[in-house]
Amino acid sequence: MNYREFLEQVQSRGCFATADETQSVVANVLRAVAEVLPQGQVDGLTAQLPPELMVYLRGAHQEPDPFFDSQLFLGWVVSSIDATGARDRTEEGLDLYAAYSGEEAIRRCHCVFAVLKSLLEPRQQDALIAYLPDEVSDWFVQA
Amino acid sequence: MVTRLDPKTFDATAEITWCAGCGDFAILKALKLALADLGIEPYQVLVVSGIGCGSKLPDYMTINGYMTIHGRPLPVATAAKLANPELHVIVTNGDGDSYGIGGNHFVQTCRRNPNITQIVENNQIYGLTKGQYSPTSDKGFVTTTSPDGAIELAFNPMAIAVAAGATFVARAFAGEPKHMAQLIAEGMNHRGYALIDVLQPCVTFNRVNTYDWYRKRIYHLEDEAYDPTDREAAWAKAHEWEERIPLGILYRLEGFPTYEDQVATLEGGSPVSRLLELARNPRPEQYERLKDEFT
Repeated sequence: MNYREFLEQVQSRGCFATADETQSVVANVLRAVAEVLPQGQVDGLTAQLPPELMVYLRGAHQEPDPFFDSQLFLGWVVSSIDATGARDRTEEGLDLYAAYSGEEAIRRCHCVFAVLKSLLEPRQQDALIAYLPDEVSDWFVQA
Repeated sequence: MVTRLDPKTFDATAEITWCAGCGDFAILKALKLALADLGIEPYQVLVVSGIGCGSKLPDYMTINGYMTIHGRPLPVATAAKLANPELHVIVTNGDGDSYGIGGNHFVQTCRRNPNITQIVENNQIYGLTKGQYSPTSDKGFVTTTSPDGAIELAFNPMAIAVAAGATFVARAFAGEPKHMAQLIAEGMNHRGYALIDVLQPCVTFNRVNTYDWYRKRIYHLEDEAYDPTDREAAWAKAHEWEERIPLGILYRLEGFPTYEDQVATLEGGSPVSRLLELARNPRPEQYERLKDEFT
């Protein structure tokens, strides 16, 4: 799978409006992954992933912060969501700008993880799951 | 020998109402880690806050908490420390509460040097009121109250603190809770006022200063041959922003007397210790004298 195909699959799963939005989703989720995945593990993914995706993972640290949790992971993704962050409190759901960004961020993680999983061998998936924060690893498994 | 506690000791049951992904979660976690590492029990801690997203923090911990009116946690914390110097007093508030509404208290606290630790949740915006520019917003920052971009230069807390006489000035990043916990612990071990300014992305209303924005700019002073006791070097580091942003202890001066050390009234013991002594050995004439002394 090349980078364009990767984006197309993510866009299709997430119903994202544009390629730019899709690229932003992919970049933010993978940059969050780079925060928890040690550099050595990232190097092991080079053969499986399109080089354009590896760019987002290059920020990985030698020793990731052991206290990086699911909230921090979400923070990287929520920043890219174009919404005010609040729940829609109108009676008929008329507030077009409202969105519960946490749920939307988790949905975006699901979309990227689903396509990412299809590129990784089972042992690589297990290795990734081992480094993801608890809740995030659940999203990866469920994706 | 410090007996390390389980950070869960400080967990509370209140529902956390911060946005998903808010940097305040990491600050809450780092504070619990620091207290646990230092072996400080919940009853030994007072966390004082003001008004704002970050100021909800005392509600989310099992400690003594005190939410003051907007911008006033520093004088309340100073008073609490004077009343009971044995208490570990921590202030947690946002950049608006600390550097805007409470700006004067911030400067006075720097020069007073009470033995308290302040953790500023600096997200460069007023989040609780849905996104107005704050004292630390960069010039040109567009918000609902600055549609053409913020006109003023951003308030520089590091430089102001160094200039005003603070004896411990540090900066952390919410994306690195372990490093932040270490800085909080160092700040609490410092005898005197410790400022830890935490760069904390507001994921909902600040779409400029994101985790990614900071990640591309931050670096650690510990990785360089940097001497935090050099005040001139600290002054220079305090002005680094935009291209490179230093994390770590910018300035540290040990051995400087605290405010409490210099308050003559406390020489015979703190109000709390004297009241406790009186409660153990009640003597009416002493009680009246103590009451006169502190009213």
